[in-house]
Order: sequence, then structure tokens, then C-alpha cells
Amino acid sequence: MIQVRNLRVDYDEVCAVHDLSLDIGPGEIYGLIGPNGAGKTSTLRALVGLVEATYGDIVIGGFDLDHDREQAVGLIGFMPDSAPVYDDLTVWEFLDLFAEAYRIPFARRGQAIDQYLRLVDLTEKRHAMTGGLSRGMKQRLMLAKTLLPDPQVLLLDEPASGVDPNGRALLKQILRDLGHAGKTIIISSHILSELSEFCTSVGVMQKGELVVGGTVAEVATRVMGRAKIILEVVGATDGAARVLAADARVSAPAWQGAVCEFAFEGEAEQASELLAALVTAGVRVAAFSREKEDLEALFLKIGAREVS
Amino acid sequence: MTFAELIFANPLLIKHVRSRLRRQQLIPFIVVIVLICGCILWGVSVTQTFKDGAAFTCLLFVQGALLLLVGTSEVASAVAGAKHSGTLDFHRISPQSPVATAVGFILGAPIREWVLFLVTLPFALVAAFMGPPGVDGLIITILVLIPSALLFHTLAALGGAASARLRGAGSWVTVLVIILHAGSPLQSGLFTIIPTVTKLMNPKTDLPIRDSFFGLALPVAVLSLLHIIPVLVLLFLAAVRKMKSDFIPVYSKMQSVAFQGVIAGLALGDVVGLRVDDAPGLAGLITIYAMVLAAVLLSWGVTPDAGAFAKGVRRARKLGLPASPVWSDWAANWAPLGLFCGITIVAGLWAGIPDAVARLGGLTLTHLIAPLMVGVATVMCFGSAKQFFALRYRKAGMTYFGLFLFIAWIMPIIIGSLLEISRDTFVGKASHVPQIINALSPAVGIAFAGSPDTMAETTVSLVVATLLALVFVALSVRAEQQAIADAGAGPAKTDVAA
Repeated sequence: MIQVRNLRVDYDEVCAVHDLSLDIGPGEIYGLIGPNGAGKTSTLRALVGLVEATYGDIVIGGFDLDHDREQAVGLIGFMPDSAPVYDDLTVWEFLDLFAEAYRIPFARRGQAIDQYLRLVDLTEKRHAMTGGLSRGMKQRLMLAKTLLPDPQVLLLDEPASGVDPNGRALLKQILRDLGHAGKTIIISSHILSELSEFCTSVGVMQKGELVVGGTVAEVATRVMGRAKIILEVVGATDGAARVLAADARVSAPAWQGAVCEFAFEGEAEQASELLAALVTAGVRVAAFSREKEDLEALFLKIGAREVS
Repeated sequence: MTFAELIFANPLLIKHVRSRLRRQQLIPFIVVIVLICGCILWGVSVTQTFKDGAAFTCLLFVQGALLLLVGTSEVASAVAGAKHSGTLDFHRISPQSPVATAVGFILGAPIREWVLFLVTLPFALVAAFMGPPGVDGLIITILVLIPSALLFHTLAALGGAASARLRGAGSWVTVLVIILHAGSPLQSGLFTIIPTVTKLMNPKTDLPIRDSFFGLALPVAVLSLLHIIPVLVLLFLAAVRKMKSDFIPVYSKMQSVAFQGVIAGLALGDVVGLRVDDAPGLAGLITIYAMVLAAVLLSWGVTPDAGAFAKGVRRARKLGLPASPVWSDWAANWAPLGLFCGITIVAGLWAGIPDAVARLGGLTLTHLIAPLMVGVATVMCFGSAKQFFALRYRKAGMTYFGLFLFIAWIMPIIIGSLLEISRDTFVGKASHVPQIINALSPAVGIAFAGSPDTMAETTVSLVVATLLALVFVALSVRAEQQAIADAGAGPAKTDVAA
């Protein structure tokens, strides 16, 4: 759905995005991670044509952004990190303005606006001036505006910033539903712990380059190193210690009483094989937990510029 | 999109109608305007000055204040606000065309002022009926006032879209409106309503403008429209470009050349047939000054900064080209600069040769060629210096360029004027030194070069202007080569705020 090849974006003397290539399929929810200044916003703005790329090819839904700009941009809904609104319009008028701009037929317009107001829980505010809304409400209004033309591709830049916990839960639910509905979503956010559940893949940007990309588990493994497993046994620990020592994928086991924490190189399937081996060897396993890939930790690690 | 859709189904226009014509805001304004207009008519009636046109003039002042001052300011702040908040980006990525966005702002932002203008019309009709300029005069006035207001609104939209800061965006347009209406110097007054109204109120008035175009005598209103409409179209094109993207110059290089061509047409139309006994070569001089001023302003807009230039080089390399195509927005300004000079030469000769030929013996072709050469050298110097400072010193370049202009163009005038007023103390009554120093600046040098009795000043002006042009052309070529080499070296820094 989204193909980017060798994208480069320059601002004056600064290179914001350097030779970035991406392939995002239909229905994928792609998390763009990186510290401030990594080039996430520049990438999103280049994808929607708001920043003219120095060079590079961007194809959205089969339409080249350079040659078929109108068709390509027509597929995209873009939500910037700030929530710019016309303060002198009511919520309903604001959405109507963009419904008209997106040429939604007049007969369907009112219904569509009401539907998205309901979706973002702003029905009660339909006659309120947008200038009087809280930041979180403006952010939700922005989401409604973005969804109004029913875009196939959603580019969301920090959509959860300034949104209260209830709003975040609502946003999470909406994004999950959109993913299920087959929309392709690129989302850049700092609140990754909440989004990690439904990001099908992530890309990590640093200094304008995509340093690593893939599924959350792949990226976590590459960035965080080996996954951590916590094993708790009942009774003697020597049987478990022997099994762990025999498995090449296990390293640095640290026992504290009946609990052992060790690094494990492998995905969920390999971890289940290890558990089976322990049980077969007669180890009485009380707990076996594989620490879930945590995008928040991943983000912190990237923020600390530890990605090699 | 049809014209009707552009107006009646324009989302931004509808947006402004909604936000600026809310009953609770509009009605108080209407009441105020009705009271003001009523007071004007009542006051004029009491003083019995209808026949002097006092009521019409006062009402026109109210209309002008509404449309030209408040309306202009509204457009500038609406566009700048949309740009800086980011809402303009939403329009850029919607299927709405940049033309519709520009029309939406230009007609929509001052919609309240247009409604209030309509409110004043019945009062203006009464005033026009009771005294000069009559009802037909009122119609002519409106026919010029509306395009004139649209011209300044379009300029304000452009100012707002190009503004670096939200605060005070487009305030220069308001200042320009005031200057043009207060002073109306020469033909530039034709962009305002002032000459038309002055002539309507008193047909015998001698205006400080020529009422002919390419030698054809025309009513002042027609002359005004002849000046306003082409410039309005060109400004609208620029506004549309800025609505399309923030990252492109106001004009493409081709458009800037077309603009210079239009200015040449207007300047020639105004001066053809102009012959003043006491001012030989005046037609040529006026044209040269107009062309140089236009070229300076336009070359400012089409000169890429170091970042844009490097971007062009990188993109060209990716496409297998050695450098950006000469007409690309990211290419150095040589192509338009060359054509600005060419158009200046053609226009200067066209305007000046008939006068020079008619005065053979009193004025020679040299007195046309010399100011023309100074003018062309000035255009070349300005354009190449701007390009050089931008490429060589990057962000600091504009400061150095400003310093250069101050030293080379302004300081000679200041020093020359000081020497002139203290002539007895420093240089003596007969000395040419003050004029020679003045002539170092092309702002004065062009005029000196066209005068028959100023050989020394002409020589100084010609030599300095040509020398500076040659130096900066050479420096600019070197800076361009260096910038091309630097752009190939790859990215230096990669940290930007997201």
C-alpha cells in the first residue's frame, strides 16, 4: 500500500531524512519510533506531499506521489502532532468545512459528520466553538476530520499527545478497529507501550535513517538483544539447571532460590520448545514467563542512542 | 471546477461566511456603519456642502477604510494564521485546488468588510445623486474600487502566505496601501481609486499622471484598470503558488520574467510620447528606473538560498544531470537575471530612442545608452550579489547582502548629501565632488548618467556599476561551483526537530 524508495528530505542545510525505504502492506499498522529529531514527522509530511522531497519515490496505493499526486493524496488521511483548528468555527462547522473540501456529497455529509462525532465521542460538543475545546478534544476532533473522507491510508503523527487516559483508550480502540477494517496506518508516537499491542510492525528512525524495521518481536530482539525468560520451579533446581545449560539458546542464567532469570535467543515458538524440554526432563515448572517485547523500553533505548 | 463552484461551493469561502457573518457580530457593525454614514449625510446636509462632493468623499473614505485597510489586514492575518497554525496544510492535502484556496481567502476573509461596504452604498448613492460625481461617477468609482481592493487583498494573501512570523504578517501591505493612497506618486497612483475620483470630482484637475497609454488618450478609470488588472492576475498566480506549497518561491523563474514583461508593457504604455522640454530623456529614464526596480524585486524572489540550491543539485544528480535545469526553482538565478537585463534594454531603448532622435543635437543616444548600461549593470550586480551571498555565507548571507547594499547604494547618497549641504566648508561651491559621490549609488547614478551635463558623474556611475556587476558575477560563479561541490559531499548534519 505504501512504498518508499530512497527518500531524502532536506531543510536548508540539514538532512532530515536520508535514503529511507519502506514497504507497508494493506491493513498493516506501522509504528514509527525514534527520538525527537529522528525524522519521523518529516517522513510523514513527505509521504503526504507537504514537504517536497529532495529525491526518492513515494507510491501510495499504486499512485506515484510525483506524477499522480491528487490520486495518491486522495487516499491519505493525515493527522499532525499539533491539533490546528479554526477557532472561530463550531465543531460541526469545522467538520463540514472539510467534508465540503473532500467533496463528500451534500446528502451524505450530515450523516457522516454525526457518525464520526459519535466515534470520537464529541457529539455533545457539536455546537461548541472549536477554540474552546481542550487539547485532548481538539485531538479527537482532528481524528474525526482525518477519518471523515474514509481514507485508505492513515498517517498519524503523535495522535495521543495531550489526550487523557479515557481518550487514549478510545483512540486505541478506534485504531484497532481501523486496523481490522483493513486500513493501512503509520503512527508515530512516544506512548508506545499503549500502542504496541496493535502495531503489526515498527520502524526505528535515528538521525534521519531507518536503522531497523520489521515486526515488533524482530525489532525488539535486534534492538534489545535476547529476550528475557523467568522460570520458577518447585523442588530441586539442578534438573532445570542441566536443561538450561544444555540449550545453546540460553545464556547468563541467574538463580535466586527457585527462580531463574536468563536470556534467550529465540521467538515464542522456540521458548515453548524449551518449556516442553523442561517438563519432559521432569522439572516441576511453577512459572515460565517470556518478557514481552516492550516498545517503551525499546524507545528509551533508542532515545539513549544505544542502537548500533 | 467551474467559476460558479469556485465561488458558491468554495469551502473556505463558506467557512468565512460562517465565522465572520455571525449575527451577533455583524449586526453591531452594521449599526455603527449606518450611524456613521447617516451622520455624514446629515452633517453635509446641515452645512449644505453636497454640491462640493463632501458627502461622497467622506463616504468613499469610509468605504476605503473598510475595504483597503481593514479588509487587507483581515486577509493577511487569516492566511498567516492558517499557515502558522497548520490548517492551511489541511487544504493543501485535500482535493480542494490551490486556486479555490486562494479565492477562499481573498474573497472570504474580508467578507464582513464587503457586506459593510454594501451597507454604505445606498448612502453613497444619495451623496452621488445630490452632488458630484453623479450616479454614473459612483458606478465608475465602484468599478475601479473593487479591482483595486482585490489587488491589495491578493497582495495581502501573498504577504500572509510568505510571512515568516504570525505577528504583524502582511502589515507592510497596509503600509503600502496608506503610502499609495496618501502620496499617489506618479503612475503608481493608478493602482488606487484616488486619480479616478479626483478627475470625477473635478474634470479640470491636472493630475500628476499621464492620461494616455501608448499615446492613446484614455479616461483615468480605464487607465487605472489597465494597470490594476494585469498586476492583479500576476499577484493572484503568486498567491496560488504559495497556497500550493510553502517550500516554493513566490514565482517560478518563467513567471518572474513574464511579470517583468508586464511591468515593461505598463511602463512603456505610460511613457510613450512623453516629451518634457526641461527634462530631456525623461521617458527613457522613467522606464529604466521602473524596470530596474521590478528586476530587483523579482530577482529577490527567484534567487534560491543555499539549502534550495543544494537540494536541486542532489536531485539533479539522482536523475543523472550535472546540475538543476536553469528554469528550475532550485537553479541559480542566471536565466531570469539575463532576461530581466534583456527586457530592461529593450524597454529602455523603446522608450528613450524617439525622445533622443527628436532632440538630436541637444541630447545624444549616449545619454540614453549610459543610464541603460548603469541600469543593466545594477540589475546584474544585485542579482549576482544576492546569489553570491546566499551561497557563500548561507544564513548569514542576507545580513552581509544587506550590509553591502547599505554601503554601496545608501551610504554614497548620505555622504554626497552631507557634502552638498556643507559645500562651503569642505568642497567649494563649484565642486562636483558631492554629485560624484552620489553617483556611486545606482539609485542616483542612473539619473546622472542620463543627464547631458554630468560627464564626470556619468563616468563614475558607469565604471562603478559595471565593476561591481563584473566582480559579483565572478564571485557568484565561484560560489556556485563550490556549492555544487559541497552538495556532492553528502549530508553534514542530520538532526532536526521533528
